[in-house]
Amino acid sequence: MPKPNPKLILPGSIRDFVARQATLPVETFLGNRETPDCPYGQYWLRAVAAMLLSGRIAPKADDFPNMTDVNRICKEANFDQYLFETTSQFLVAAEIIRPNEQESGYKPGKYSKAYWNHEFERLREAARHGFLELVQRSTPVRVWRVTFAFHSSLDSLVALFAAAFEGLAIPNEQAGRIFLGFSKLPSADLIDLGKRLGFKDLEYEAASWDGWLDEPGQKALLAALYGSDWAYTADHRKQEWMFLSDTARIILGLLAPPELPPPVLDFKVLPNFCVLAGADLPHEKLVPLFRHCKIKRIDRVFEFELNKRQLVETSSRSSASKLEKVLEESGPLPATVESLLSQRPRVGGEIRIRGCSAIVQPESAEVLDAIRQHSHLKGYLATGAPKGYLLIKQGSNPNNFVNRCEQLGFRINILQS
Amino acid sequence: MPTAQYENPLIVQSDLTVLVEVDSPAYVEGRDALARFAELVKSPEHVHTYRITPLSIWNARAVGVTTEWIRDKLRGLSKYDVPRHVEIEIADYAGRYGKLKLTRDHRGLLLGISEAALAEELARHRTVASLLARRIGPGEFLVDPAERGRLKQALIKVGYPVEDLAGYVEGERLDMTLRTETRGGLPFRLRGYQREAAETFYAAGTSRGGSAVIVLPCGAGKTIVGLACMALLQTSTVVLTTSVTATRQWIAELIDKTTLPGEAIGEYTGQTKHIRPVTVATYNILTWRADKKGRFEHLELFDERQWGLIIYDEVHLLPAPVFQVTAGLQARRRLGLTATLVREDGREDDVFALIGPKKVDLPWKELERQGWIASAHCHEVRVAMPEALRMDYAVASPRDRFRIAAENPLKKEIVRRILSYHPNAQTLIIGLYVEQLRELADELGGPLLTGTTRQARRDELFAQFKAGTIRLLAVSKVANFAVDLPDASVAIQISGTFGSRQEEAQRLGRILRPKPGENQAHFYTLVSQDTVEQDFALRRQLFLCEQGYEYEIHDIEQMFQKRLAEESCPRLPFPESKGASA
Repeated sequence: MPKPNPKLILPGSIRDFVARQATLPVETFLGNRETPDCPYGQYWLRAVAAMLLSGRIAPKADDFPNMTDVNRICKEANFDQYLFETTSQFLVAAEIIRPNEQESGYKPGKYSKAYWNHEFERLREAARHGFLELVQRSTPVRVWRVTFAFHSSLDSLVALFAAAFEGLAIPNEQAGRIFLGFSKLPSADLIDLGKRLGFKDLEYEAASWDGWLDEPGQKALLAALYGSDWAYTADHRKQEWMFLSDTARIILGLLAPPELPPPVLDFKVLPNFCVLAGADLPHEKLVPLFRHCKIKRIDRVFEFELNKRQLVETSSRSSASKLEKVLEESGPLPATVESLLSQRPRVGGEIRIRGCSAIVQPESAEVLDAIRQHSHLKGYLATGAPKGYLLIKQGSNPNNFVNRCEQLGFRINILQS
Repeated sequence: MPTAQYENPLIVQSDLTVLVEVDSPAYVEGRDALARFAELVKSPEHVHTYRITPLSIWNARAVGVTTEWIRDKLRGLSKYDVPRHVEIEIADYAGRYGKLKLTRDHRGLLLGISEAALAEELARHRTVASLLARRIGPGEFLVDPAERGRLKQALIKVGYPVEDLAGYVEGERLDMTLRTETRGGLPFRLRGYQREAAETFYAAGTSRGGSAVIVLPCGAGKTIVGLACMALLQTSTVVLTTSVTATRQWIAELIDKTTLPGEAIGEYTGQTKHIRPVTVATYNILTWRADKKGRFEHLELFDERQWGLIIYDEVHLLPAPVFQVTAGLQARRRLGLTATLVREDGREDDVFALIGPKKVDLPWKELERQGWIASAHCHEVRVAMPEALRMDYAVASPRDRFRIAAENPLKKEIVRRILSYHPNAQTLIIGLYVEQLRELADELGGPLLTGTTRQARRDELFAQFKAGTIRLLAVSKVANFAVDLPDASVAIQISGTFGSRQEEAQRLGRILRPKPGENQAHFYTLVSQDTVEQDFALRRQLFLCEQGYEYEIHDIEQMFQKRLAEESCPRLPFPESKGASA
């Protein structure tokens, strides 16, 4: 864990408040980690973003992804659907990804470029926006608030809380109440702590925070903390504990952002139809892979399989050609892959459709001829039936035809209603 | 990232798979390191995939590899940081090996457990506890020798491998050495990797050796490794094989390459039942019984003599009843031989517990590079369906569709054409449907070998083929396994068992024995274009692609139209392939 800031002296009321709470050192759960992870740089987040952009997941009315689509793609990729759900909700809330109303899918959002290129300052802005948006969305509609969550500066409250409880975990079941208690501390002390942390004047916000932290508000705050990857829970001696993450500290300016790890940019197409693509490749390369290939592994190097069925059944050659273009960038393609890509799609070409009200399959050519020649039956028949079959005209009621046949002594066997 | 690190070959994924870049300057070092503690999953061009599993770590620990060594190799050879939890998991797996030891002293067979808490846990585990005879100390249990195998099996199932140091009973002594000149008059000596494999198994005769699995590609001389192990141990031996043909080939090799007299070697099959100091039997005869509820009477073979060594050929096919009896044979030395340890029933852990850890595993392409197996060129030739059959195919049921495509009559013409490219090569025509093979064999004037061919006739045909008196042999799937036809250099597969990857590999294996001269083999698979057979072909080829082989794909229509001149490239029959060459 990062060492506590030795220069930060907590105002008396805050120090006493922290001392009164049951706490555990965070090291109890995490051990001695040397460097924090880069916020929102993990491969699984990039995979979720690429899957959303792939067009294989439709948004619901609330802009969050349709879980039927999510379950299908997660099953294919052997990826935790609940992690997908929370991650995708954060990406949408933070406007990294946004719904595409025209195509019933998703498209890059306002902060997409910052996210894919690891532009830290813009990403920080996106994350704080996403956190507040999640608070708003997690607050029941019937609960009245003076303002929207965007104007609450609850992220600043979390920053003060994180500074006060640095390196400490609190009991999860009391977390909401502890936040409420913290927000009720003397405003002057909270503002003073804010100043020491370099925040702008928090006078107005500090006075209204406790109004946000009634019971539904506590739940909304906690949901947003978990949804933004700002807090974790862990078990210790049959009790669940909650602590704020390094991601939260970095985004809230309490911890310097770590250096970016070396980007994983490997990209290989193998003769066994396997495509390996590093998680740090640009989304223009990753998205066609997530769209057209079978997802085999979500890891720092994503693994895909070029699947014949998926390729030949695709409805759009233009989008499939994007895939070919991307694959060709990896170098000369293996013969097997080239051959697979050159196979023509099975969809396309002209089909002719006509209507009829029933299809009749006489047991022999003699029976068929008897029906066709019979003056009471031939009026029901349409022309152009396939060999061995008779078609009942679209406007004729097949029951009438059946009744007539029975009266004339034909045995009827209804194959399918 | 420093340039040197960026050139490292390994990418360690968080799910314990490791990708290895073949083009990296440190590839060889990375491969050699991984070979000791990870399993090769696939090895197509450019990037190979390994998997670290509890079994692979225990295999490594069994040959003395330490956790620190594994960690240092991964860190030192990785392109990116090794995920922390991967190191933790490896340490956890490795730490389990050696906690449980089977030893023997004056009190009998003992299971020693080094951790008190673990001893308590296992003493309370229902299955494990039922296999322990008596507790004689905080971490010591007496074990009934008859339960030695079952206990090891049960413990590995709960995640704790046993280091078996209880030693072996000495079998009847058998004087034998390897000859320096075969009875056929050819010079003979072990290849380096064969000697190393045998010595690794033998472990200087200590209790640390004597039970192992050795994985070598088809054609690399697994039988010879078996003979070398026998020569090191000098003890009576049972060899278990997959077929009568394989049994006779073992016997022929024993006679040809060792000093054993013929009367010391017995065949124990459905046809002949001789028990001698070296007895070669089939799995089929051991698992034969009169009816479903009858007993396996031939399993008594194991009690007929004081055997010192049991060799399981093609150990990945070991049937369940032989597993059961092997559990009771833990006091004998055991050697498993195979080209692929992947079992369709997922019982790799039973192989580890009952036969032994995998101690040698050499990739196919590595032996090809060293020239010990032939360099193989694989071709997929796509044959159009005749117009007359297209409609039958379109309206047929899925199963019939496959058969219609597989029996495409235009394939015959292609076979002729391929044969004309290899006029002097010993050629196998391999197929699934006997009628199709029969027609082809009749037209080409070659003999046909199927499941109904009598053993005597089979032996005669194999002998004629080896002697070169017949150049062409049509075979059904009976020749998929353990048939040694060293001079076959061309195989034409006209049909196969749907998408079976194992069958494709085994069929290629028939032509991989090293050849004099250019040491090259050609494997052709004929596939009806735009049919389900083409889809199955993709699946069939996966294992070989993963072993580093690449298929050239030829569109036969195009080839005829262009009338390719054979003279322009006499060695490679289809120079203008659609894709890159292998």
